[in-house]
Amino acid sequence: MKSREELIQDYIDNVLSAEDKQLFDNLYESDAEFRAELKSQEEMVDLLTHRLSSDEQTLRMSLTEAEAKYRKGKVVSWKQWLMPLAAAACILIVVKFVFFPPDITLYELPEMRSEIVRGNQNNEADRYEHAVEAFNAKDYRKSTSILLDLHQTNKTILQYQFYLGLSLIGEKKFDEAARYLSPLADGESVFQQEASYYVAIALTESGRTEEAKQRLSNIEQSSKIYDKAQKLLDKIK
Amino acid sequence: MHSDQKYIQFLLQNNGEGIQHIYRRFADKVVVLIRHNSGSEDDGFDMLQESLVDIYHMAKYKDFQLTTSFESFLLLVCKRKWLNELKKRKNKEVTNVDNHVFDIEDDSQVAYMEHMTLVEKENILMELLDTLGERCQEIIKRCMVSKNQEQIAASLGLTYAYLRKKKSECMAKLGEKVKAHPFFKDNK
Repeated sequence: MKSREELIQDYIDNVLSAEDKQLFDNLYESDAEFRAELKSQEEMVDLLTHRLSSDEQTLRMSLTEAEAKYRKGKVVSWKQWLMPLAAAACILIVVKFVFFPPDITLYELPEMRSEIVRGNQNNEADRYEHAVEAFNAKDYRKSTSILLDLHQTNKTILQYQFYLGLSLIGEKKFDEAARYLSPLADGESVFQQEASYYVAIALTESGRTEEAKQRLSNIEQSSKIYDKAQKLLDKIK
Repeated sequence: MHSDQKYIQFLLQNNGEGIQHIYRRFADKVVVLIRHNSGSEDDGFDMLQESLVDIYHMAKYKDFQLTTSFESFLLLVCKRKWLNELKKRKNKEVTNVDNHVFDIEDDSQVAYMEHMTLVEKENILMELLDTLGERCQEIIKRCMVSKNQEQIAASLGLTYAYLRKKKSECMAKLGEKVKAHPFFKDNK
């Protein structure tokens, strides 16, 4: 039998079967909480559809460009700032290269997010949460073992595969990591861009810099990881 | 139609020249407003950009109408956003907020209230969506812009039945977060 949540989504998407429609109607008639939940979900769907079908990113690019042009035009005289700026730049260069090691943040792994679903106490979710704990505690041997098991049990959940790749990077098993991450980087899932970045990390660490450069240069400008990718690209060039 | 509707059209059409014109005409006013109220120049430009994006989203609602000058509307949206930002920062030391400037009960606000509230709800909903797991985000984002869920399932390597089940779980999870958020409690 379908859950209340499934009935609501089926109703909103207009795919309720005749049998489920009867169940839906009964709940709608008898359960005020169900009606409130339906109303809330319908509002959410309207708001999300409105926002997600907009072209906000393109507009933001134009706004950023207009702001840069406007602010640049407002700078009246560079000359009075030139000497102090040059001096500051020299000091920064000295500080950066003499006192600080190379930028290790480029190689840092992201936090693995918990996926706790209220009421979802099944074994798979529990094991995933154990993997989250181990991964975030940098116990990559343990997280790899759990994630490998989860991945082999359910290969359709790409999230398992993605974090398995990352966990292998944590274990410094770069060739294996690249093997799991490459299909994601070549695919079109939500992990595509980040997977490309971490494949590049794995390839760099394995000495395959040309392939790494190729992966990094394929990362789209709109991606959250684009800036990091550019920095890494500059570094390995 | 108000003669300043052209500025709204610049945003809706992503007209580069028109957007630069908006900056030349209004940026200083927004920056001065924010700087006079405990913000920096960068805060001013950030507020301007965020407010223009909000106006773009408001204008995409079919029933939206510009009933004042664009400048009044823009400054109104900026004030409201900046006040929210100050609350968010919980900046106890902010003493330089000009209460007269932030008299948010003015008449123009009432006319725009419904659309401003809608866009604020959208903004919060997007923030809450970002706190879900990546898989949920992907499924929701895709399902909201395309009705062909069989194709979405195939492209994600899922069965259609699993996609529907997961989508309902993800939407329920988002619904819980929405229910718990004070803004949605106050603006039912």
